[in-house]
Amino acid sequence: MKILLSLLVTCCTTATVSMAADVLSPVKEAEAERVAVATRASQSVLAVFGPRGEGGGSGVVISPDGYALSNFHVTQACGNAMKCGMADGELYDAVIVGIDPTGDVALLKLLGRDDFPHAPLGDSDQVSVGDWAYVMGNPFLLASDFTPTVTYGIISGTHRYQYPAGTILEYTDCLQTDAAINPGNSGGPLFDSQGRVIGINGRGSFEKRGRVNVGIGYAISINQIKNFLGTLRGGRIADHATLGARVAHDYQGRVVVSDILTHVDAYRRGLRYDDEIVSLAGRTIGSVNEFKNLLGIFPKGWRIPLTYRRDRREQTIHVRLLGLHRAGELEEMVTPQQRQQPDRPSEPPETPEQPQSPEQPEATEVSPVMRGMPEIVREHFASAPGFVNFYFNQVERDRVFSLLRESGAPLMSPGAWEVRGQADERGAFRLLLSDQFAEIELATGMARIDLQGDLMTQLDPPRSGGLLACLGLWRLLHTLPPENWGTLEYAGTAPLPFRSGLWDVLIASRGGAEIRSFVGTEAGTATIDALEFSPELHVDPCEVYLRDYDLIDGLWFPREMEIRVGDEVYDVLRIESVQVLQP
Amino acid sequence: MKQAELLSRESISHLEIDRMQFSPNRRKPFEIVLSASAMHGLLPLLAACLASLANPLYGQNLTPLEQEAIRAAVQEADASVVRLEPVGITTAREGVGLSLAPSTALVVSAEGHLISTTFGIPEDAGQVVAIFADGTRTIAAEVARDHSRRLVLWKTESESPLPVLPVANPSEVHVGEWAIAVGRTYSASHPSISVGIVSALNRVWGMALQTDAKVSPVNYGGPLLDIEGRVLGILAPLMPEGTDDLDAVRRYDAGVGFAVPMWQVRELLSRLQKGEDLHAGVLGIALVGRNPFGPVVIGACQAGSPAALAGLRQGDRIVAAEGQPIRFRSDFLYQLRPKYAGEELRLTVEREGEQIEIVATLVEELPPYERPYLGILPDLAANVESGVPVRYVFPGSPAQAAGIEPGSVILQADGQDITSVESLLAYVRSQWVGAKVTFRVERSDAESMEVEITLQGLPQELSLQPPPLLPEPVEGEAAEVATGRINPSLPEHPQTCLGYVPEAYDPRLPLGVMLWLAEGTSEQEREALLAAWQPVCDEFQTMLLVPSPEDGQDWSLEDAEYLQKLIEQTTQRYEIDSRRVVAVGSRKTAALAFRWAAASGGAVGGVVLLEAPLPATLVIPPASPESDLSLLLVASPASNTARPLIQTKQRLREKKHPVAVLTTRGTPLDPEEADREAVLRWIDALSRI
Amino acid sequence: MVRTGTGTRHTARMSVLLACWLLGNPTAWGDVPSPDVLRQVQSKVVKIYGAGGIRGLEPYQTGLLISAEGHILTVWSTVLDTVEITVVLDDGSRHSATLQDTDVSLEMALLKIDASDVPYFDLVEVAEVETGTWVLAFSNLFGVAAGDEPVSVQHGCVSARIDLDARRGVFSTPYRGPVYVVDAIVNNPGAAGGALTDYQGRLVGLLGKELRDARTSLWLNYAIPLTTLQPTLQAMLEGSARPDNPFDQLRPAEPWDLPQTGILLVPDVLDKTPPFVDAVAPESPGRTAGLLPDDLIVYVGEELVTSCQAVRESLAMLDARQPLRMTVMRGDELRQYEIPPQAENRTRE
Repeated sequence: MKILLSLLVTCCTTATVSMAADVLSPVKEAEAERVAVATRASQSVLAVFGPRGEGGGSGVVISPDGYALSNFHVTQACGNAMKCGMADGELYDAVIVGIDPTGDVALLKLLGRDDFPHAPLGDSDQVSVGDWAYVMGNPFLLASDFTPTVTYGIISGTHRYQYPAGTILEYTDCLQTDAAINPGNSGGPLFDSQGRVIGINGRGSFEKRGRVNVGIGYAISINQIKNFLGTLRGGRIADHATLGARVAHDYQGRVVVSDILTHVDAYRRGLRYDDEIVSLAGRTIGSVNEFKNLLGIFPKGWRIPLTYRRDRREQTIHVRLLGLHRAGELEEMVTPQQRQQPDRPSEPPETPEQPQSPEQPEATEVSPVMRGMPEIVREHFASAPGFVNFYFNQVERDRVFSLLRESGAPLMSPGAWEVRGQADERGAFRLLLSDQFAEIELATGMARIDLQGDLMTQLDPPRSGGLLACLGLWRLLHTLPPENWGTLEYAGTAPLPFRSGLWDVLIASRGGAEIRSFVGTEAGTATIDALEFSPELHVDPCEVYLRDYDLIDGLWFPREMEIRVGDEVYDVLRIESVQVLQP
Repeated sequence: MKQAELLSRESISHLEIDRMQFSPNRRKPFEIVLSASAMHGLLPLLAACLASLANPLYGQNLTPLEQEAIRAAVQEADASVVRLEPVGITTAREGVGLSLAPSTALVVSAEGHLISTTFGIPEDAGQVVAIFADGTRTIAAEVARDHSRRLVLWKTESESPLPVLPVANPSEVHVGEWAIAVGRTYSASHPSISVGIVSALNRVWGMALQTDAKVSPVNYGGPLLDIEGRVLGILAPLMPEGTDDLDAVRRYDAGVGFAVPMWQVRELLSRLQKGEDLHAGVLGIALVGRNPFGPVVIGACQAGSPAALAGLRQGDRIVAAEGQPIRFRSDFLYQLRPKYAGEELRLTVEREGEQIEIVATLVEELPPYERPYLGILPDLAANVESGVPVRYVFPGSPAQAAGIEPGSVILQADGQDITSVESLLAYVRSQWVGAKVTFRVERSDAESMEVEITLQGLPQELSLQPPPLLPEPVEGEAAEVATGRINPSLPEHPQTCLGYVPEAYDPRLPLGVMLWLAEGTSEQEREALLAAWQPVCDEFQTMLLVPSPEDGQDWSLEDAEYLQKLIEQTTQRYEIDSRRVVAVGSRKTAALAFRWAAASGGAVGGVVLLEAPLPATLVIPPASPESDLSLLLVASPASNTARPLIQTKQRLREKKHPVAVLTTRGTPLDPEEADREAVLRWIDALSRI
Repeated sequence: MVRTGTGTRHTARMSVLLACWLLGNPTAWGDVPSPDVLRQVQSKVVKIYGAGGIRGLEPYQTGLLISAEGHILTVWSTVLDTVEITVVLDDGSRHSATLQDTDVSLEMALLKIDASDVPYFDLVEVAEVETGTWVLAFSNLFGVAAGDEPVSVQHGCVSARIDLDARRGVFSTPYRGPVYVVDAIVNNPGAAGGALTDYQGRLVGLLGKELRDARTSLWLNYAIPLTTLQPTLQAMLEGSARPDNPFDQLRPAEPWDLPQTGILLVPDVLDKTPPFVDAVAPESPGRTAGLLPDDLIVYVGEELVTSCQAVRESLAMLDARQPLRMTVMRGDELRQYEIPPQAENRTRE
């Protein structure tokens, strides 16, 4: 047996010298590819410091104009103005844009350039255990030349849950990695093997050896952050969601509703005590933890599909999610020292869901909050109650408005609108919308409301939830410039039932009522695809879905308007002609 | 064919031919299985090998190739990685016996020179034995030591030339490439491996590469290799701000490890081989302010330091060093820290609009820094466009001897305008004991006078006579921030903290801060502490913070980061006079209070030790222009810690830290009213110049 | 074998590399940690909940299914110190478990749940690996995974293979056999009883409890090789007599001692008297081997000795039928001497 062995060895080595290089070259090739990905990705990584260089954490730039992600507990310690170092050795001024305290995410914007190196966002639902990943950031604040520390490891677990443990930071549906995450890494990116951002590192299990990594670290999943990105770009304090109902395991181990509030949307949509939760937002629910984990990734105010089963019959509903915190509660926790200037009139007690009316802050008067800010940061900052940085709410609002104006220009003229067509239920209709009133003639009768008056009580036509008020306000969105509205704010992005993708949402309030308009902005043209008119809280709003935009009589107008209240369809208007009457 | 194929895969996995050849004597549990299928297993292996000859890459699978490349690199390096075992008796470092564990070294010359780190091998370690991979043992004689990069050069005698490994080319080292950390402390015969990547270049002011391989005392001194077996660097316990090895070691295996680049080590060899110990070069300046991104302006040049001798002056702005532009403090440290004592540092500074070239020769140690003292308390509340109004003059001080009275305003020093308290403090601190300074002072009767004052050293027994209380702050806008009882918290730290802010807080009069590290006290005891000290805090405009440690009971060094962030957050919310920020420690928390205050880079001005001597093992850094630390030892006359307390006072004064002693009537831990007032008065006096 | 030109060096290095590759792990060219290998292994790892609950004594650890009927291999620890031990399988199903058998010196415990055809690690399939092999550690460290959530996976490589030196109090553990040291931090609260596998998912080791080196206070990351546990485990499963633990450091039947060598050490007055040779009896084995008075004994065999007491202890561990190697320091020179075995022809005094 020995002879055979030695023969084997010699025959291998003699014929192999030329191949030896081949063995190492694939290893070197893979290494070179990893070096290329690491070098490219590290260009977009930030070392985040306070305005006077104190504290410290990490971040990552995600757009050429300088929007960047970090952790709330990093930017919170730095204040509204920050200094960010990048791998090019330069130090940039940055301003806070929006924050999500419970999810521990913050959006900031670097200033001074519009061609920042930035990292593409990945899809954290495609990430699986065993994938290689890079952690980049500034652990132990070692980056004295702002070049980030790069550590490499695998994904140890997905869809993990981390309790707040004495802080307000709750990590739901997060990624777990064994790539070294240490204090200072907070806020920095978790890249996949192609250099796409799949998470923001924020936490490690540090109990065992004090503030040192022990082979486990957690990153907020990028898909959760994408859900909040719109709200954060709008300069707001984002809040997470609750269903208004509690779930628990029953004796058979099924996940059932153990408690539900009667004034919440879920109840109105038919969810009751002891119904079994089958799936939420398309993901099957196997345990209470999984339900809480999944619910944690949605912003307050979104409508998401929920499938429940009652005595073997499954039912899918679209539920509006409530806020996890009382209105203003998050703001108190987050900015105790930046209370409004003493001279501001005390705000009316704010009812939930009802946004306050932020007056236009005088640009000249320098509030103590802005005293230490560099000039370039002050130009990008405006404080207002309920907002982190009101300046960016106006930026987003104006962006959506300018897109709307470009695609619906003729409608912008002051004349009243006369719209005629057929209603599926109520026959031929004539709709007249002007600045003062809104009127509709249907086979079943005529209705008219005064748009200048109190819209909370004029909900005609009956059982429509306030169709005329809704359409009246919808017209005013085209004709009344933003400055003339009581409040007109950008509310972030949200999905629409039965459709994929996210819509920019504008909230306008007038006459005591509120209208949300869902603006679709594919390929630069903007269309209002849905309206939700809520005369008061905890009542099903009047929903109007505007479809099949087309040139009708030379005007860019929807051919079909489906009107729904709660679960019933009030009617479907099929538009045949549109006219803008001269004033 | 299925059965055969399965079997062959099965038998090959047991066969592991190489194992049989290299360790035949070890009895293997699978012996029976092997022999039966041995013949049968060989044929499929032969077939696989022949197949492999045809298709060299065997599919795209990398893991085994990478595994083998790593093994080959380590096997190549094996003969150059040496184990060091200190054979002498354990030596004491300040009375504490450090048991000497083995460490690793790397061959750097065919004649037998080895490089290891200073960790684990103190200077008086006695005989050290070098054990080579083939088991031979020789005495390793220390040739020289580099205290800056923590390296030691050894010489061993060996008959045959030793293998020296190739060094990686710095231009080819990239972040993301493989990095293999090799050590030899587990066993003399087999090296230990940890595989990671290169995490960053130019770390620790350019003196280190960073890797996420697991670096620890198991492989300090060993090589960090690239995938082809070339040496990237020597693994070492380095930290930019670490004061000594223990700080760096605490972060072992955290995925953040350092190696001194091998190309830098090679350059050092010639100097070390001459037996010349190397020390980090010291310039002797303190920079203004604590903002690392602010202008790099000299706040103080220590008298007798290379900076002072080279002509650098307080107020000079450093614009270039060694020909490189200096934007931030870190740019300057990248040029200074790698230098050794005896080397020159070329600086370009800007003074009154013109640029001056200056060359300073760095030294190993500065003459002990004794803080010069004028003897006045500035009036922080008064709003005066320029100059420093004097609130109180200490009896027996140089200011009193020169006839300066409270209420007068100091306008100039040696012709330089004094615009603020900081500028007067910086100017005085840049002088030395015995220096003569001419001050222009406007007296309270609006008449101004020139007076020459000889600065003295700080009196050790600080007179605790009561300077007048602080003037009533002018009624103005109510402060916007919370006063009275507060509970500051930090989002990512679970620790809680009780606090009290004087009701009459006015942003124009900066507060002092007492950060009390109460040990193991319950909620009520901390409430009682707050209530007891509230009146004197109001009287002396001082905030009191009583945080609780992470586990609620005992304080540990891990809480230092939380304390630093708590002070930073407080400084952001309130106007704080950082020189009157004081850490209060008692028996178990004295060491943490001192160590955190000393390392806080000027964020803490004083330490109060209640009946608590500092432990003998605690390293006390020498006083320097940067660390402006004053200490107050509070002890009861009968307390049995008198001797250790006196010893602590001795050790602090040796390092030129000003120490005052307060003998209390009540017990130090809950002193009587008069004692509490004395402590607050001492804190109030900390803003002295 | 110092080669000058890098060229020749390069090819020499490459042939060494290739030789290892071909001979080392011929079947190791399975793929990188593929998701289905990970799922397969995760399905065989269980979460164990039992006694404990204060900081430092977490009430949970990990276990490995080793039979279709539900035998579970784990580490003996305080977690199992209770009547109701709950085991949660990868599919989230909960079972109560009974403690069937333990072996304290191997720190091993065998639990049993009543189940049928659960996925399990086949003990015949276990593998032995060398230093440098890439490994995966599966465990429920910090109790992160709950219910049907899969256990965590960490990657690393075998850093070294050493014998746990419990004798000199370096590691306070009854287990004294070989361990795989891993360069990932695999021993965390809750991780004990987890699986160390190679990249093909073959079981290599059992993750041990958290251990600290008493000398350097460093945490050790290690797993106990399955090949060491396998015989006792097989015996436990079959209920047959257990083989004695091969790693008990029994004192050799015929140990060495100083009188046999003729060496007389200086009087042992200090608590750690350095072991200087006071005298060497004429014609004694020590003298013929070359030892002289005033030599400082540095190594007895491979053991570093720093006191007279340590010399005696080390000698007692060495078998008199084997030659005794001693390394001494004379002046500043190190000298090695070998004393031939005396046991056969020892004259009885």
